[in-house]
Amino acid sequence: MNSAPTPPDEARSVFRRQVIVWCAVGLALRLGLLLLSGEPELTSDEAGYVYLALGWTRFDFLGDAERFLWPPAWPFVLRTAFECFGRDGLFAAKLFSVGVSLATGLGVIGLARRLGSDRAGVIAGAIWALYLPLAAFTHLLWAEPLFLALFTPGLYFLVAAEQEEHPGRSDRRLFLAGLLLGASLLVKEAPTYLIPLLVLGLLFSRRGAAFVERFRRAVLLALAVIAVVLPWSARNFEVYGRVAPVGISIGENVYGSLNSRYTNFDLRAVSRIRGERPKLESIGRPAFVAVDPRKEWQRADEPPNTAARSAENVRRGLDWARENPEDLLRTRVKKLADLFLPTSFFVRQQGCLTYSEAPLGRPVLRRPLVVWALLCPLLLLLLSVPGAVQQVRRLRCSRGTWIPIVVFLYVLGTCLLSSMSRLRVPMLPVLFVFVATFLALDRWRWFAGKRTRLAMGAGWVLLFFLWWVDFPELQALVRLAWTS
Amino acid sequence: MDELKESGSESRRGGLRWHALAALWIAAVLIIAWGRHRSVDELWTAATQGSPSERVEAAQALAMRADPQRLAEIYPDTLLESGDPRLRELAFSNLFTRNSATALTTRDLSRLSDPEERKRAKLILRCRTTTPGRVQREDLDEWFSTVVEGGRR
Repeated sequence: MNSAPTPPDEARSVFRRQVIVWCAVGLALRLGLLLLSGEPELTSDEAGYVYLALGWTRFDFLGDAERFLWPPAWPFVLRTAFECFGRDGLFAAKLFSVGVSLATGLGVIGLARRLGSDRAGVIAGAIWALYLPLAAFTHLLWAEPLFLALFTPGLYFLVAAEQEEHPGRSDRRLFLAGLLLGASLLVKEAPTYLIPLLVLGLLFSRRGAAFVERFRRAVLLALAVIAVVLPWSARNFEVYGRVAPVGISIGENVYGSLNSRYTNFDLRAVSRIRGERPKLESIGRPAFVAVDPRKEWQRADEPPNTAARSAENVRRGLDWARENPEDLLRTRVKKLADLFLPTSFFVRQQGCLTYSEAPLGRPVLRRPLVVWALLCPLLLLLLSVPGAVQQVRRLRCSRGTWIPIVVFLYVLGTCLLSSMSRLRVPMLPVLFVFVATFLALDRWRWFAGKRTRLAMGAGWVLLFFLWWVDFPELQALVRLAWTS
Repeated sequence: MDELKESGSESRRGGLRWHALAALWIAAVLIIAWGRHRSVDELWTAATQGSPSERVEAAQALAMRADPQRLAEIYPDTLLESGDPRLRELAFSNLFTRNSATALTTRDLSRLSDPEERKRAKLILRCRTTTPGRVQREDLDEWFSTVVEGGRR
């Protein structure tokens, strides 16, 4: 039963109304979580960010976090919040995170609309609004909400620039994309090496255009990113005497990853908080975890220079990798499993009893929310497989499709070094778009084509295998999050 | 054909405008950074005679790249003997001290005569990001009652 085609103006107005509804739902959920979370105790990096911000207010200078140099934007937001609102600055910063998360929602909707259809845009908006693990970050003090609020619109403008025919408009969007991606680097350094990949992508996209034109566009993106990041990079060069574009954290990540030890901060509740403090190695499947503890190397704590310490840790890690290729391969499977583990920091916090004094911690709310938070990544990852396959199929016929695919592969690559659900966050907008564009297809096209079906099947087999690898840890974590 | 030519020239003009803007900004930042680059002697001058924030910044550059060994010989004592209470408090962050033998501990708090200052320094010492502990909610309460209200000048 076919209905009459909807006039464009009416369709646009329906689309806008639906976008507004899902944006409102997304904001309401985040505000609700904020109000119901009370003021959870600061954990891990949250405390580190707060310390840096307090030090900045007191001593007018931003130090490093001893083992890291973090980019300055999130400590700056916290510092400003403390200066404006005093002790209430903590709440103000969380409220700020709720507000800016709207930019992520709109970015995701825009991306799905450009790479799919209006319907895909609305579905992407719904996924963003209801994806509890992401919504929950807005009442924690990690930098993820601010990062995504810059990164996602940056990706949107990059795709928009790729699809725009008018050279002037395309350039403006490309420039804006560079500014936003550069600004996102000042929040989190994770996508530092993504930028060269995107620049290279611009060099090879638009095959019909002359090489000079492609080169011109690629250089524009690079210049825009550098323009934003350079003042901070110059400051780092003056302080450390080394090139550190936005941050220094690779050494610490290498210490935790290219080493005979296993860390996954999603499992903090399992390993640290309750009772017996078992070593994670004793819970996981030995084939992917067990490594010889005699081969464990210690951090380089001696060099006074943070960058030099990081470089020394990288050297030690690479030595370990060269000497233990079998351990390296086995543990990389574990890193992949950790990346796709269907859990989140919200479940982790519940397991750690972070909300024990707040309504979110009461069983009547905690249990349904834990189920919701587990179902979100479970469904998202399951549906991302056909979504990603569909996007790869459209690679040649749809401009800009390469961008989310490059982002996906980049995050996958970085997580082979250090992995947990929080490090999946830069991938989330892309996964939302994969799923939304897939669900927006007519159903008969979902599994059309033998090669498509084969690729989807292979993807699901791999995903189930990775879930099986991490199942013992997931079970232990869920048990802790479920019980009080 | 003419339209295509026009479109192409517009593309070059438009594109180069944004390139030029970014390049100018980058050049300006590089020139400023080059102008602000300080030699070891200049850093020592700033670390001993500058304003409190200049002294901290210079000390950080000395500790990290320029002269870490000499700085380690005199810090944190130099900060503790400073006339500025903020610098004395900063000494307890152990920011410039990699050597655990010279790092300040709670025992060193007695080197501060003012009880309020001692309270703030204790907080700064305890809350250092990775050692020995992390900022907790009650630290924040104390910080905003002790550091901000008591320490405002």
